[in-house]
Amino acid sequence: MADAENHQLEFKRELLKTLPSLRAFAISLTGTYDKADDLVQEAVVRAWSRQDSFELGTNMKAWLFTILRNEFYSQMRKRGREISDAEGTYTEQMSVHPNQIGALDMKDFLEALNKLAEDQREAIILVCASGFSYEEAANICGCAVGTIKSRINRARGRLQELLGIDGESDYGPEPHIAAVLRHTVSV
Amino acid sequence: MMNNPNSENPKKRLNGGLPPADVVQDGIALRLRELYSNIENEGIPDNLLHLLEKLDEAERAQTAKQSPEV
Repeated sequence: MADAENHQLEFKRELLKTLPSLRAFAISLTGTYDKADDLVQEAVVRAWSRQDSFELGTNMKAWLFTILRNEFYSQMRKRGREISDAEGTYTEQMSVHPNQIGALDMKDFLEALNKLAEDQREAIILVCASGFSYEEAANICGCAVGTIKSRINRARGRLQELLGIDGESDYGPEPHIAAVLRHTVSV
Repeated sequence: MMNNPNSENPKKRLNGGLPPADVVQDGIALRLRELYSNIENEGIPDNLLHLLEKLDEAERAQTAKQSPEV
């Protein structure tokens, strides 16, 4: 009896610890808070019902992310393209704190992210933001490590294109590059 | 646009979930991690905590039903 109770407690503790990151994954994956909310709830319910199959001490984060990812794709199949076609909703939904540095940049970024193909988007999020290794990301996505790497490269290239920032600058394009970009666009 | 006087700062603040060493830490990766950790720092919304409570209650009720004598 004590073992089962310990397992439950530990499971809940780990789950709670992972939730903020799982939610950040869902929001960056879907691009909207509403859809991410549904997705996280579904994933939590699913994870909860399968908690006996989770082995304590193994990677809870990877386990939960896999569940959420599968849920994301099955919802997408159900709803068609709707999920990735929600432009314009971030602006209202994203909470902006007045002193948050670059809050506007972040909204632009989320919008650009949502224009990527799903497989590229999830790869760059998992490795560059969620903190998974290439191997873990490959496991979560059910593909080869090399595939993850090339998806990340394509995602990076596309984001640079969409945002007009070069790889080296941290915040926005250098003035002369921005000028060139504006020129190119207006020609 | 506001220029960040300490362009090194974001790297230092974003210490959770470091990507693999050979991921290029360019503006794209930094912005993505900043976005992500901003969301993480929002904490867990109430509706999600409610859900966990409900799941917990349901589980306890179930356990009590299965082993009434314990």
